[in-house]
Amino acid sequence: MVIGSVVIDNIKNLIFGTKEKALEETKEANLIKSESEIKIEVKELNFYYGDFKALKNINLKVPTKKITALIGPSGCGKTTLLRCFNRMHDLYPDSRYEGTIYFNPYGINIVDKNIDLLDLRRKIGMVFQRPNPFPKSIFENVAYGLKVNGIRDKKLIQEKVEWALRASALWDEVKDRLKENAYSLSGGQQQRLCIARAIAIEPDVVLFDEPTSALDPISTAKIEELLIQLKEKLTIIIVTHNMQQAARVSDYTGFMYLGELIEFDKTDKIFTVPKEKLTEEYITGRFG
Amino acid sequence: MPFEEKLIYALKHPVREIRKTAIFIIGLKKMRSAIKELEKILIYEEDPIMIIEILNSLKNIGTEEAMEIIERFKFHSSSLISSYINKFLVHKPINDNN
Repeated sequence: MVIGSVVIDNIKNLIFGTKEKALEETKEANLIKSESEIKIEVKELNFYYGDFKALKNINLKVPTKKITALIGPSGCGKTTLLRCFNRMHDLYPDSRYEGTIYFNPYGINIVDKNIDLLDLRRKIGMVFQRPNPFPKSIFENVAYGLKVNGIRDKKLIQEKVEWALRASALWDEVKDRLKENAYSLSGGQQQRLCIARAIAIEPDVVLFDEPTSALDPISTAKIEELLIQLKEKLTIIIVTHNMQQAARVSDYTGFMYLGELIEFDKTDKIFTVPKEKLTEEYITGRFG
Repeated sequence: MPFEEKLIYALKHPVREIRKTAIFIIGLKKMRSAIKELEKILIYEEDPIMIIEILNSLKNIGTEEAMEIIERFKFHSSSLISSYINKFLVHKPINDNN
């Protein structure tokens, strides 16, 4: 009997020991997997406009090939944070960064003064609040980035322009009028053209700064649908005032207030079971 | 005050977008406790977009009571609302209790 129980204990140890080890290995694998799935990692980021501290100790992990939304009241710093990701603030004097923004898999710190900004903006594109096509033809608008990046092969340019226009759900509407001026398009079409222009050079990330705030509901629905399709190819970060838009399109949402990231979580959690009282109050319109 | 209660209060918020978001979240949370409040709004609400938002929320809640309210709007004078309802009534959700 004693021998029997020892054997059983040994078997238990063997089984449970192995199980525990396997669990640990799985946890470790998951951790490694999730780390490799982080496209941008913000650590202790502060940002200043002159003496004004606009962003305060931001820590955030932006997952790869997901849509991350930034919400919050006007002046909370969401656009300021978005513009840090491709160093748009550098276009203005007296701006200053503290902390780090790691960009994977390149292993670079976006806020490092010595990085190549052109290369960064090639990898992290941006679409603005109002459509801003160049005063050129529809084709030239999309081909522009390719040409600036040294692509001279006309056939390749044509292929990439068509791909970008198709991916932006615009091809069928413009395929017979590629030589027309981009200004002849409607506002919604111009915004999709700007998205095509941004994705033509195949960036890793595209930043969207309230991309539908100047558009009608039908164009807004098209852009939202497009965002969901695009996340299969790239990482998207979107700033929006529209909470329902964040809830509809994003996988993760960050709520910002007075320059701080108050809460960051999966979108369904942020909207249905927010952890922070401030998030609850903002969602239910108690301030903002 | 619990979050659910804040959401019900938000249904009376002066800003339309806040009311709309609250209705949307109530649907996401399948808040049965909000059915009566949503029903009350439907009595006076004239904005078809808001009515559709409420009906959609009720559809997400999906209880028999919620579906009965939706049925009442099947022949609404606004074709936007009636056609919307007829579209989604074809795909009626299965009630958890059945």
